[in-house]
Amino acid sequence: MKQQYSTFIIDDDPIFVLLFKKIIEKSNRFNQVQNFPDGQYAIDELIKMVNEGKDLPDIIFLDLNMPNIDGWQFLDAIENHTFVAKVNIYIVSSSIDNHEIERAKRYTSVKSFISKPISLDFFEKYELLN
Amino acid sequence: MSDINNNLLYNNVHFELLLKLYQSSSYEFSSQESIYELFTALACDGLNIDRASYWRIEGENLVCIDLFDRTQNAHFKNDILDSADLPIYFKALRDGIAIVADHVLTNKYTHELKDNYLIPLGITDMLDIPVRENGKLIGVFCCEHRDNPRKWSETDLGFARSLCDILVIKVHRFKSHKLEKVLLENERKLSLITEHSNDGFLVVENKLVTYISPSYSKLLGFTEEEVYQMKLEDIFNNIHKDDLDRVYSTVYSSLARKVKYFSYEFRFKGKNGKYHWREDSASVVYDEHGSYINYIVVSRDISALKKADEKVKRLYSLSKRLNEKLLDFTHIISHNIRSNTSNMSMIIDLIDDSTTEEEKDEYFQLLKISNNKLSETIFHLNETIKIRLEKESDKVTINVKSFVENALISMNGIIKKENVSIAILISDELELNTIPSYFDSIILNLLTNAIKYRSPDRNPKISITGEKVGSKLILTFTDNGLGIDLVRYKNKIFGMYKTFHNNPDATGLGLFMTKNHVEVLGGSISLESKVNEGTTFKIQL
Repeated sequence: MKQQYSTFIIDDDPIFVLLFKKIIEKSNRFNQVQNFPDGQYAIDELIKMVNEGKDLPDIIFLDLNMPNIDGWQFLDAIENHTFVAKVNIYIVSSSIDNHEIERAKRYTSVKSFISKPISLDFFEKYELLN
Repeated sequence: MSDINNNLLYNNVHFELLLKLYQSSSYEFSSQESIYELFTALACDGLNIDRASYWRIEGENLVCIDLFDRTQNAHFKNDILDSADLPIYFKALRDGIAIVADHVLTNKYTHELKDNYLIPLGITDMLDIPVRENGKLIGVFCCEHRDNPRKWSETDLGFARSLCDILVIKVHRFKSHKLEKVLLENERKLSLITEHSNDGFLVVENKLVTYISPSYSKLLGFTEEEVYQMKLEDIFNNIHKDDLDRVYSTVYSSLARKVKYFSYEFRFKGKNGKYHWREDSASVVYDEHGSYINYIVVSRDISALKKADEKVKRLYSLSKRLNEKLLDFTHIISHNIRSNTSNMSMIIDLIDDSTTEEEKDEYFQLLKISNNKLSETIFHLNETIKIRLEKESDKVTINVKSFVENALISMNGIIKKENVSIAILISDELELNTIPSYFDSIILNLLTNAIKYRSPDRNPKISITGEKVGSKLILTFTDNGLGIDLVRYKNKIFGMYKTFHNNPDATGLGLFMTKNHVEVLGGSISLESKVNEGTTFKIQL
């Protein structure tokens, strides 16, 4: 059996989250998936995990357009934490706006900008798990 | 005839000539030159001589202004004699009242002239009168006789002296008359400028208006007399209160810093009580202590300029608004339409990949939901596009209170269900010129929000106030609901698809649409809010 990964999905669209989870399931590469409807819940959880000495998720999938704390605010908020170096963030957004894609590049924590929809061969395509 | 008659009185010819001169008007002369020409000719006639001339002292020289030669019947000018060659002659002119030379070649005052002047010209007798103005020697009037010697009589001397006196007077009058004409012409030009210009001119001395151009009083609608009674304070009193502080501080800080030129714009109330825009350019003269002596204002009516300026600003804000709207549409397309279509394409992929009917059916249900959400988004998009540019013709005058009361009727169901108490504090006669459908949507949106985001801990209470402030209507909607964290969301409140409470009903469009409607009506919206205490929306229309 290949190595298993853990992930956070931060997205307020329940349908997308459901579909994404199906795709993750089909990949057979994840043993832990947690989802959060906005950035604040995810930040709270990350801080909690750090404080309790738990392992952080291997990959964070982050939507941009969300209520309360949106994707950008999430990125700004974790910027000042030391754990920021240990997380791999992939923005998964329906945005195809070049300004947003460029803006995302300014964050070292962001590994890539992925525009929705995502396909079934998503993980192979982006070589996320190598 | 007695000696007196012969020697001391003017003869008839002299008398008539002098009388004519006295009576002549200085206005008859077209030029100063023509005065000299007349006098030299008259001297030849009156004294029965060949040559008469007037020479003016110019520095070290004697310059011939006019010489009349009777035998040639012609005037000559511009001959020059150097005073350094004629010291005795000059001293005599300066000291005496006349040089009377019957024998020019031997006369001690005139013999200096003999080689260069008297002999070549054949002059035998000279009667030279010094011409003075205000006691100062300015020239000499020369009467010259040729060929057969003659003897100058007292009468000749008297006549010549009188001619010179009248000559000085005539020239002086001519000059002052000319100056007067220049002054009159200048004044005429100035009044042409000040009467017909669009600019007003005003001079303030010692805090009092000492000059106002007719154009200015005409522009202001006050008579000149009214303006002359004005003090500086009265002028300030007619400046629009919103501009007064600015003008006041510009003027007084400039005066304090001894600024010579400065300008300022303001609205000024004319006599008809209406304000118009003016630009004053001030030019100030200060005395040695730094107090101003003269305060000269050129005031220009810039209403047309301001109006054009406002139009540009309005067009600018309109195009800015349209641009923002365009960005919003891009945002809808990018996020809300794409998020649904991308979900749908993922569902289709998954249906393709599924092996069981149950799985397929599950995805099919999701497809239906996504499809509905997409339709909804497109409907909202359409609603947003429907907001057109303001059309004055769509506006009607409504009674604010009864309009709000009517709007509440449509919400009766939810008001009763949620136990909402609503207080309307709007005076009965308050009216508003507005587009009813927009105004209705503003009220409904704000009330719906106030109820939707109520606190779970207390019954919703909403108060609506309305009052006229100046020409604007100020409407407020205050609730005791959840409140919005303004520190966190201050730039997002009125943005499209922004929600703040994780409420599943939230579309993120309500406040966006409300702001749009308010702006289309030419108003503005702002809010104050405290988390867990409530929110007040303030609308200015």
